[in-house]
Amino acid sequence: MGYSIGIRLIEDFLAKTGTGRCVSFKETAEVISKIGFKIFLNIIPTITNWTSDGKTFSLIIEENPLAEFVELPDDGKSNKELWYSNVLVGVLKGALEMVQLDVDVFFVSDVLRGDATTELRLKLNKILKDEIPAGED
Amino acid sequence: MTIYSLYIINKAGGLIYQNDVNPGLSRLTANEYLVLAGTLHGVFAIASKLTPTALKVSTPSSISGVHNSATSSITSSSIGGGTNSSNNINSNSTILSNYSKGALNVVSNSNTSGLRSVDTKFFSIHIFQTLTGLKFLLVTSPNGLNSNDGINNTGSNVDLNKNSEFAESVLRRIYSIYSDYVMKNPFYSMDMPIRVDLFDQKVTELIKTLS
Repeated sequence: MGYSIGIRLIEDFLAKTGTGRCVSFKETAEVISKIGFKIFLNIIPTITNWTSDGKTFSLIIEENPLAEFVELPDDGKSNKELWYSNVLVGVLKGALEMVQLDVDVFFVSDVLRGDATTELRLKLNKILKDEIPAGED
Repeated sequence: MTIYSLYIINKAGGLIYQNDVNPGLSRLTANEYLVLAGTLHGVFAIASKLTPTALKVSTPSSISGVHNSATSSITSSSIGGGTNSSNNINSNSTILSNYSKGALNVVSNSNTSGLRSVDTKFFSIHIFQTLTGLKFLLVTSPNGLNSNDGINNTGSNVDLNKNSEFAESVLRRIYSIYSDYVMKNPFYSMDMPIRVDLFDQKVTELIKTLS
């Protein structure tokens, strides 16, 4: 969910910010948090929990605008099965794929489920080198 | 510099948009436009391979996450201008200018080693490539030649630069219009020919303000 939004929204992001290609995944993380989330949702998630290989990190979303005024039904199921803001996962996956980054994105915790934080995890699988458009150094 | 025509080529080399915004160029058949776009796409790719390896800037070949000491920290204040994505080009440019104050390099044109322009005696083609592989082409009056803005006929490097800078700024604005009116149109399917009235309108408006 959200994938198609991502592959379209990335054009908007690039056109408006004029961001160049990142030189490290660390930089990608900064750009996602401090520019991407800032201009589209007006929040700046915290970047933490880097793995030692530098390929996986977490975004902690303190105030999630999508989940404002939201409560999950108390049916015993939604607390286990529903990631309410899963649209963000698809958007990030789609957008990063368009700039030739193959990533896995998933939620690990959500305050709506009663967790302490809302945590989104991004894992870089590989850079799609073959698909980087010709003409870049 | 007169802008004659705008082409958009998708990342596979297919022509998805062709619009003669100002009269002046001879018309080609629909098929010839496709061939022209495909050929330019191919030449662009091959030309970028021609770049002498010695001249290539030694950029980190991968972004595998090795912490780059030069990784810039982007402070939230550096993008303070934009709290939401607005359609207004002016507010976008404030995001852009604020952003450019940060340490990051601002180059939405990812075309660094590819073909940038093609010149003939009667017209020039300027090429702008986005990070996603989309190409925007602008056919204009020749570099260093007059048209209505009084650039003299010397064809010096200064004029050349001035023209390509101008073309790039126009293309960047067209990219912004594209992202607003094509990408956000739910009836448009990706990589297909662009038939979006609003996009036509906005492009025409933009070109009008320039000439």
